[in-house]
Amino acid sequence: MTEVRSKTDVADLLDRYIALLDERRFTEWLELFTDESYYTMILREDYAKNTNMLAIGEDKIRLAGRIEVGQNVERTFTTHLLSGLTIDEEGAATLRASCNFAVIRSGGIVCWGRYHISLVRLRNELRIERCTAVLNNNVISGTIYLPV
Amino acid sequence: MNKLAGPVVDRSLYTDPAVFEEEMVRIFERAWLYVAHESELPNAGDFRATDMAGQPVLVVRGEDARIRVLYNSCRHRGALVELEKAGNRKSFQCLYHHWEYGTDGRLTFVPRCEGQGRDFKMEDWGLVPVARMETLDGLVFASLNPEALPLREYVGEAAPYVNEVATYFGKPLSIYGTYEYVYNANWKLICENTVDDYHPQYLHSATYQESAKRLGGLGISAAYMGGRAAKEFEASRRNADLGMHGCLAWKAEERNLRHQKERSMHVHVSVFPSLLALYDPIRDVVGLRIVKPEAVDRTRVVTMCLGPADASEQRRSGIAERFNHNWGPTGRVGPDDLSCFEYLQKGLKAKGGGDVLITRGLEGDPRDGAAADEHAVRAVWNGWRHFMRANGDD
Repeated sequence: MTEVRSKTDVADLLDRYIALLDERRFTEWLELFTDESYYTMILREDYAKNTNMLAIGEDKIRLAGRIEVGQNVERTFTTHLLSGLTIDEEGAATLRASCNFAVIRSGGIVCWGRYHISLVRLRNELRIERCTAVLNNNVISGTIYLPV
Repeated sequence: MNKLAGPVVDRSLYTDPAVFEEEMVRIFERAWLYVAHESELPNAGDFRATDMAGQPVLVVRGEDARIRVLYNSCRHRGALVELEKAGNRKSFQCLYHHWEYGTDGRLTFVPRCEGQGRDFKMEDWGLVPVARMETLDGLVFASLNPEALPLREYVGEAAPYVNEVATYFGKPLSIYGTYEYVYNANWKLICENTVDDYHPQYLHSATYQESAKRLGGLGISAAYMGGRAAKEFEASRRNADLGMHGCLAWKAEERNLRHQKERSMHVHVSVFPSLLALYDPIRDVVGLRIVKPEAVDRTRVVTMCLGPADASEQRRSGIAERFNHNWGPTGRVGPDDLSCFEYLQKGLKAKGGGDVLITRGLEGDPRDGAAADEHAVRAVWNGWRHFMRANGDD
């Protein structure tokens, strides 16, 4: 039962994650992360080669700054689509999960790939310690300022 | 092409598809274009597939250690002989009828060769080499024009700046990573922007304000926003018209040099028409942007992160991580620029909107422009006029 419960909990968290981004409720979205969390975005080729060439690499403070500015750079709403959630590793208080994502903006898919997320249970609630968005895009079309 | 092309520019030069078609032939088929970095080709058989003026080429190191630039097109029916972007091959095989070529371009195998007739000679049907290939500081350039000036003569006064960005105190760099992005606007806009000293404190002001606030009023951001170091920063800003090429430079405060202590100058240099090379001493990152025009209002940019070839794994990892902090479509200031290009392209469609001005600092010394002058931007248009006007006259 633990695994089923975990998957449901993670799915709930991810649904909230994308709903908050799509509704541009970024302050609430940031609250899904622990204070020591790190958000990264990387192209699949670099992820596979472990080059550490991050498209975005921000701790929570810098992420807040990026959002503060980015809201005025990217003004259009997004729609996130998720699929294929798997629990990749589960410890007593930690979880690693991954799932596919696609982000639609201005009528087209801006980016798509897979989230790799490390989570921790704090006061019986899941929080994100690390989120890595691995992009399958070969070419980045337009800009990606706000986190996806 | 007698329209105004600097320091006052006819806006149709950014928007007219006929101008774009002519640019491809008169500029991109005649100028020297960056095609690869030597560090990508250390061994025999290493190759990089790219394009020049939209034409597919292969940059490959042969068994004889020579680097060649060959058209990536089979001599039989014209298909690509290499589909991957980069890698190592013993030979290149066309997928259609399996004609095979050596890494020096020689045709080495034709299935059922006897059917080609008695007069068919393998040595006559190798991959065609591009007219010219030369290297500068590890950068491999090629030109489709057999009459192109020698590369060093072409680069001219920009050579010391290229050397400063493309080497680390004279030592070679290697490529740590590469990716591509596309924006929906004219190719010249990124060439102008990369050496435009006037726009940062305005277009990027929100980012600088946020950064200055977060860092407690320190750093280049604070200087741009009129902070403590603003006066010294302002005095350090230089931009230059180097003929067809342009350069922008400014000094970073010593206390901001956390990742290295030996270099303090930011340098941006443009080598007309398509190479933009940058060094940021604060993040200790070197970037190359290769501009690939696809249409009058669509541009692909291949961007590369470079660092010292002999760097430790830890340093290499740090440089890679910091590379996109500011630059590119996911950086802190890059998205401002890319979004702006698209707004520019839309605005420039106003045919009756008047000419474009690139006139700041026009009366000053073009080799030593002060803060917010537009000498380096005008250099882009010097290059444009050189190639687009008959006989290369201005």
